[in-house]
Amino acid sequence: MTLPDHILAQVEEFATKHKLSATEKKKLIKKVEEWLESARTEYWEAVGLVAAESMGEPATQATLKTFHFAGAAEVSVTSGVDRMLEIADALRKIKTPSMRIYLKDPWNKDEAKAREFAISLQETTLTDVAKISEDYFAKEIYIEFNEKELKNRNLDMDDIIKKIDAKTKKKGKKSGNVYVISWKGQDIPLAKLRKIRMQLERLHLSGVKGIRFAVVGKEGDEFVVNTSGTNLKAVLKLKQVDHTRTYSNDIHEVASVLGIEAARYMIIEELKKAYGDMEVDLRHFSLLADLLTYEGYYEAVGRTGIAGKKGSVFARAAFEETGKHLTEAALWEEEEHLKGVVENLIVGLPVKVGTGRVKLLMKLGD
Amino acid sequence: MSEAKVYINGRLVGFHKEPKKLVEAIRAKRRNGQIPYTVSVTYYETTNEVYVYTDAGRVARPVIVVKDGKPLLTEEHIKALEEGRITWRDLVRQGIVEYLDAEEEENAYIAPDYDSVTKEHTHVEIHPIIILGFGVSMLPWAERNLSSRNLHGAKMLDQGLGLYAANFRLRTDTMSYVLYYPQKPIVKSRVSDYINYDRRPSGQNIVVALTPDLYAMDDALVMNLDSVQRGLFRAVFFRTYVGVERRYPGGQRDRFELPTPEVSGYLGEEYYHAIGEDGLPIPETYVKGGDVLIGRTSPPRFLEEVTQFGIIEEHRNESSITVRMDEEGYVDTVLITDDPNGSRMVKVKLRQEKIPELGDKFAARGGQKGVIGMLVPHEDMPYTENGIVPDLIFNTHSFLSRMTVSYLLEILGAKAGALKGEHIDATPWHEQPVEYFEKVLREHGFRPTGKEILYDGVTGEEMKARIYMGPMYYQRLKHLASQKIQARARGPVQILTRQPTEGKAREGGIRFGEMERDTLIGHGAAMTLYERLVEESDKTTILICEQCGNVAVDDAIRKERYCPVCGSRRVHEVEVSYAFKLLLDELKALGIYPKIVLRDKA
Repeated sequence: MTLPDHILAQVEEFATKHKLSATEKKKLIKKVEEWLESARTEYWEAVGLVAAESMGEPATQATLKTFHFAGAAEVSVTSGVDRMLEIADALRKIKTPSMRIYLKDPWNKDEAKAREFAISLQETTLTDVAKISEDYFAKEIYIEFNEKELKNRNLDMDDIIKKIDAKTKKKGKKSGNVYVISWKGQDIPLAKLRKIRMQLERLHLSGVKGIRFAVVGKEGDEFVVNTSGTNLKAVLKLKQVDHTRTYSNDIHEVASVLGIEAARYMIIEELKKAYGDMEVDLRHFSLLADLLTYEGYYEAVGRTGIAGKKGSVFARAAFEETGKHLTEAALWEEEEHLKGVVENLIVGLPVKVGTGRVKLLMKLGD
Repeated sequence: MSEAKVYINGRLVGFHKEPKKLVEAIRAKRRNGQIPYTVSVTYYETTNEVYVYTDAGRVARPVIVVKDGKPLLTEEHIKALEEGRITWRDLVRQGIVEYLDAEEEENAYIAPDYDSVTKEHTHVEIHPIIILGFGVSMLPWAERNLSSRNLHGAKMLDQGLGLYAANFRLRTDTMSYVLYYPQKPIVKSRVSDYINYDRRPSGQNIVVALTPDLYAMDDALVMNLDSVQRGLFRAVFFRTYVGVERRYPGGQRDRFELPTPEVSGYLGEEYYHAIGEDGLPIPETYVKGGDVLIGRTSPPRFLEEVTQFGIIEEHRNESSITVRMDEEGYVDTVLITDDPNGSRMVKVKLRQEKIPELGDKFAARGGQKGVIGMLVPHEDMPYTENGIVPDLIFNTHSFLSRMTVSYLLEILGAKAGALKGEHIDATPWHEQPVEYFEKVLREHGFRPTGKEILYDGVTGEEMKARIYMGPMYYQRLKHLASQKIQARARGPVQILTRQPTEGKAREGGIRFGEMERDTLIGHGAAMTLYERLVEESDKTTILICEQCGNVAVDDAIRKERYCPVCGSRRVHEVEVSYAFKLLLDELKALGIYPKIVLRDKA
């Protein structure tokens, strides 16, 4: 057996660093070969089951170790078992979608510029900068602006009023920091008034849609922006953003923006993060990631996903919705070839893994 | 401030401008005896509401009232109480003691004892031990332990074998244990006096030595075999077996009798040795598992046909009550009564002696429990120069993380108490200075530390360390190894699936479950798995028709095998699990045709 190139390179590096002699180096290579050989999967090993157990067992341990983040200027991310379940169940709505945005040259070196960019990213709606109230009797809507918030977010009151007018198609009265829109004397149903008010609450003023919160953090010697809420497609288009490294933890979003291969890689990375310092072999993660993305899109492990798409009727029936699978199998005249593990256990035959695969062939004649 | 809402028993009855004064007035009247002492009144400042409760079902407890930093109960009162001049009722009537319920406690500031009463306090506890429940307050020096240890200890108190009821011989509890020689504890909490624990104790004072013995690893205990043989922790176990002469519609009924061999289901002569003609056992006969305890026959389930002579032949089924497979013992009591339906009922009490053996569970108070890991003969146990041999060796490693200080104190206290011939009061928060124990020990020629020089019983050498040793109170808990041990090689199977039964009572095996299955698959040990799940379980040979794939039949009389569906005679034997055959049957019942395609065994 020969070593793969990248491992060989590492051995070479180690040898030169520690000034190993030729015989020592030979010995080392032999040892590394032995290690590699022992780490190889045996023929007919039940890799899927081993992967599931290897990932499931530490997860049971981790149920009690859920961390909670405290403090204001941090973006909290779901971790531990909650996150593992999110990934495996391919949840569309994850608990804490977040992005790590890497910046291009002038912005990633200057903290002030990075901060300015972060603020510009934050999605601001009218409720963030103003208090909206309505008076159904007088048929008026009052918008009371918070000047401090306006200043924080670099917004101008008159610009906002223009946007409000465009939405309501009406001109209001401004007095101090209160903007009053009145339908006095008009025949307008109260339900419509309320609808307008709700529309105003969601009125998009600035920033990127979906990004609720953005803070500047430091990674190495460059500044990066961490966000709560994601919008990969919009962020990648921005000129300040280094689109080669920017990262979103919403796997469905990554799959649709960057493609399924990126999503597969993401799943491995996110699983690694979720398991933290619990040691689980990378190959288990990569097997799961392969399965989750095998169909060309990201799907869950449960009955709607991988387990529900198994080829064997018995395997599907053994998992969930037994009656449904059996009756449908009868309807479509499905065949059971007894190739998997569960099927053989049901029927009462040796399972087709490990020693169950080994057979003796006899040579007859001569 | 707006007016406070006033509620009586949760119903709004009115408003009051000065709720604080209202509450004070009600309380003053209650203390005068003008209002019943069970009435509680609470004022919530946050919501500005007054709650008055007079209804039943509230738990209230007595506390001593404090006025201006001075408890109202004084030495004179206590003296008068002792002399019998006043009673508890008088104290309540005079407002010296009052009952607080959970609601009114919100308004009270209760000091734990007299020494810590300040001006702000409104009440003081009668004794700080009231903070604890009955269980924990029974434990000696509970205030010196971790709270979790006390909880464990309190839980085990009611598992201890003892004299659970003085009339145990007359009672017919399904299961009961009685300790042979229960003793009063030397070290005890005052609470045990109030509940007459000393008259029904549940443990024995034994000599404990603390050493890290190898056979005392992981909470195992090493016990002196000779102590056990002399009756230490010996207990008796009673189980009551019940049989009823049931009545059936149609006037028939069960009968207690000695079944004759004609009765269907007759067990065999040797099983009926304990019972007489009336079907009842003879007291003090020895019976073992499977023996009949109450002989009983039942009428047939369906009425028989009339024979050609016009008489209905009496045919009965055996329905005797037998001794459980894993029990044996002597018939103690036989009781004949009626059940609520008026049928004749027999209760038979079986008596078994339970001598401590390997695996039996014991516990000191304070949550230190363990099972016997080894029974060592007297001569091999360590001994002191005076010839004292411990009854029990307890592992010192059990203290490091659990920090059960009470255990260590009890040994010292009990040693001093035993030497001086007195009981030691170890009520929580009741000081019993260690210096006193040390003094007593010194006076009687023992080391004040409680340590002894021990000699190894096997080699005779002096042990290098001084061993902490002394008497202490131990309990035998009701978890006996003999009642939990379970094993199976062959045995009964379930009718439906033909798989081995589950559970100790049904002679079952230990389930080879899903996770155990996963380990074998993970190792690729397919043949071991096959052996566990098929060969050792419900393996069957079924016949499959080659032509239509249905299960075929074997007509043993005509010696032919054929398919009942298509009539083909090309039928083959296939080895599958019976559960699979059952699945095929169930599918067919659903209207699904599972066709089995056969192939040569590769």
